Amino acid sequence: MSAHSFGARPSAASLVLRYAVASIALLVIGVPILYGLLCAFKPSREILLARFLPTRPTLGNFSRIFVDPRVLRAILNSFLVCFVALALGCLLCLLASIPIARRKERIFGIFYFLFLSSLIIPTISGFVTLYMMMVRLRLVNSLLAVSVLFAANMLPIGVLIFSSFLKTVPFELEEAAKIEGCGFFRRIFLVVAPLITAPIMSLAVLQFPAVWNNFLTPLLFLRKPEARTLTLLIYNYTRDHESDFGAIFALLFVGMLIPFGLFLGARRLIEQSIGITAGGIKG
Amino acid sequence: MSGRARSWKSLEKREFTLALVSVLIPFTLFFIVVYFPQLTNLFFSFTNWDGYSREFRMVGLANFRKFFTYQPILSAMGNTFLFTGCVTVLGAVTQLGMALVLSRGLRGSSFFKAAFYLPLLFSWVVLAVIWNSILRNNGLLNSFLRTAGLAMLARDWLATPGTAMGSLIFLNTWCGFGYGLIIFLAGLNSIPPEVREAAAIDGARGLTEFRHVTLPLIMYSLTIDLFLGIGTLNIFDLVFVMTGGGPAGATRTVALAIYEEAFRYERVGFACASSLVFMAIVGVLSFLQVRTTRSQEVQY
Repeated sequence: MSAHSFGARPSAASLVLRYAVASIALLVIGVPILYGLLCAFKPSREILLARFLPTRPTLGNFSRIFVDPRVLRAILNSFLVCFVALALGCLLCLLASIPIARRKERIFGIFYFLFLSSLIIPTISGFVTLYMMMVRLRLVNSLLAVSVLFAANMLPIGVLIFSSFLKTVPFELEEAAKIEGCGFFRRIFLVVAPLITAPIMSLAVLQFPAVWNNFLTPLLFLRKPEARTLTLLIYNYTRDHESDFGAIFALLFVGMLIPFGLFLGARRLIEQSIGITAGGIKG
Repeated sequence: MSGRARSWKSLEKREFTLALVSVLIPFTLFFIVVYFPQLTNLFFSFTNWDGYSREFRMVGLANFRKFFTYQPILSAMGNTFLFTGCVTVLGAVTQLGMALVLSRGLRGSSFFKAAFYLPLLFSWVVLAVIWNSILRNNGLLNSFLRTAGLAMLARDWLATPGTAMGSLIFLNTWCGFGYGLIIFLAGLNSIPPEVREAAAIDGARGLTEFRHVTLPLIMYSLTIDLFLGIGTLNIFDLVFVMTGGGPAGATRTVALAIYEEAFRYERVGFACASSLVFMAIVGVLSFLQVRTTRSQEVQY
């Protein structure tokens, strides 16, 4: 057996075995999700029967949730929070990363260390007193305040991704712009930002599901019904309308649709972004 | 000439100031929402504050002593370590195993990789509803088991003390599978083919090849995977929405216990102290883990 055939042409038996293992895993991962999606098309009584396929498919569940103004409100809130959080988050990460990647002074290394070492702080441990603080400042129930929280929490991972990427981008362009008299902040937006659109996109596609699906932050900081995000609404809905399974699963379907759409559109990018993040942790 | 040199120097100084301003804008915000709460934690951990009263007493180290003697916290600690230990080991083994299955030119491997990533797109709030309808007493799993003639295995998986924690460990492994898989596949793909060819020529095959060639070369992927595994010490959402810590505290984790101490029982002082001790434990464990696996990494 030559070295080449060892690497590139596995035997038929091993191929069958490998496909079998992968297919079993595919069933374990896929069946629960598919089951959840199918339940959205079943009448509530049928969901209780715990059969996999719907016997009498219906769209009634959807018409029930879309006449509920709270649902549309929550979807809108979720989009709003995601948009503000991602835009502000990327901007903050950009402002922080450029000096960290470009300046040689020690102080910027300290900032880098302070951003990254916060990764080990358990989320819950900061939230106890942060909540008390937000109550004092009357910022509970503010969608904007929650978006800013999300944006600030993007900083460790964003600085990690941006600064490790910037180290691979030559300094000359910025240097030339500087000599031509282009000011610091103008340079950030006109010269550097266009060069690092790839990691900016990476950060956005990684953070969108994280913000969209986040549960603990809205649970604590968005208490009044009008301010709920979709994820929080689903949580509350499952408690307040316990028996309306049809509507609950229709809501799940809607909640899953949006991150799934993003995934279909940006699958490659998400995969690369995980690679970049992993590479950044190493550096 | 000296005038120009001076203006260049002042430009450099200005550059430094602007760079500092540029970092300080995000850092100030970051400090307020991340580090400042930790400082207030430190202060309130020495008090008996309930979270809203104007009055509280300094109680010295009482909260810290309580952390190490209070039974609910100790059992939550046990649960958390059990959960993280199982999730980390089970995750690393299954993800690495699947990465080996999918690597080396298996057709359709990118389809599998994408499908395995799906659960990571959804919130635990969403997945919990689905899994509850599968795992509950008259759910999909039990109806399948009864049809298959395995009725004796059927039970209320999340409400039985013996299976609740096991179910959560399975669920977390199920959800995180695709992420670790991508990390390991990237590691395997970065091994130069010449290294494998050389190993094959030297007669290394199967387990021997894996143990002495592949594993040392993907140690870096393992470092990251285990680091992410240690992160599950903070597990909150999954437990909160699936079991709420029940039955009878069997799945209560430290993060959930801290949440309950602060927001349900209004023992904020104690919750702050617990947060700090817990953070120290997570920090030390992460440091030790990274140092240990890093020392196993090899260069080529």
